[in-house]
Amino acid sequence: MEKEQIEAEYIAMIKQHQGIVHKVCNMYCQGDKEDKQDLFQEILIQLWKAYPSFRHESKISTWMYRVALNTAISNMRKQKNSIKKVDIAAPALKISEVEYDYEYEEKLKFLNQAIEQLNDIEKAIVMLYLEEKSYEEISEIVGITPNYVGVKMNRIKEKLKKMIKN
Amino acid sequence: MELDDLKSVWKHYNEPQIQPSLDETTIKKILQGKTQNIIDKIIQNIILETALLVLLLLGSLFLFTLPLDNILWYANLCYLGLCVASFVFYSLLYRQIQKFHFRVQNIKTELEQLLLILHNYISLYTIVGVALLPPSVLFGFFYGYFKHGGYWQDFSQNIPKTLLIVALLLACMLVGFLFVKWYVKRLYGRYLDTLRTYLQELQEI
Repeated sequence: MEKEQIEAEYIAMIKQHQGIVHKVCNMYCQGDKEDKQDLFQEILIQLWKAYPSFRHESKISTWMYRVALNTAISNMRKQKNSIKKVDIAAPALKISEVEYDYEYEEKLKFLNQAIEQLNDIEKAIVMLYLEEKSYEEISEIVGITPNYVGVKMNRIKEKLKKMIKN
Repeated sequence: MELDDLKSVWKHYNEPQIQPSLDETTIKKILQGKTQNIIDKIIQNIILETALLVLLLLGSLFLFTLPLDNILWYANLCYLGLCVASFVFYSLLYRQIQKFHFRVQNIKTELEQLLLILHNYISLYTIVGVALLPPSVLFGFFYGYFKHGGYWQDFSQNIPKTLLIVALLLACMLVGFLFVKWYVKRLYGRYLDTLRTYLQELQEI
């Protein structure tokens, strides 16, 4: 397959499934716009590098979650350097304005606080859970058995309950 | 509030209409950017260090064409051996990385592979750094000593001075060794610890 064709396919895929990348960035880089842009850029590059070897053996979303989560987890976020970044909030990417209600904002604040308490592995599992993925699908992405996904979820829920009490 | 109650918030927060939407030009621009991925950086380092090794190897081979005295000849042989050994190790590591890289796997397997590659790279980096210390220090010292009119006999004739030199050379090597250890830990120590903790978390008991 020619490079242009692969690139066109890849761009179409990103346009269709870019929500996955945004979600992973929202989960791993809360509040820090620059970190979020770094991670977004990194995930897109890794997806591009891995794309030619994508064999369609798994669902495209499963494959994208794997690449995006692996990139987020292995990313050395603390070490910032001066890589030229593409501003993803630049004119080409205007965010539509949506009005938030206070209750929603409260819940969102709690969600953000809860996420902050989790380590990178827990974040991956919680994100997939919030995305309503089945334990089988989570186990396929994370690499643990569905039973152990259940164990991890219970532990995370306990952790969050303690957080609410405090 | 339970985690399940937050599903709707998460869904709303990530709704397509409130996320930036990328167009083709922006995607293409992003793909031209530099990666910060650790494996990509290691690949870059390996390529750069291999190029440097080839230069050293050529330099070392060229030195053999010159009339060298014994000490220089052995020191050069030492360097040549180290260069060849490092070259073989770098090639093996590069092959290992190529096998693993771009093959998308689950998080646990990816972490295991990443840790293995980092461990091998760091070990190689440390071994090469430490192995280069004795020949570098000894070569530098003896070359300077003989160049300034020194003789082998001086060492047997003045034992206290010889012992002092040996102590100084050993101290230099020790400082170099500690520096290499510190530098490697500073570069990768915390990162490796974090990855190990994550992997432990995924090990089922």
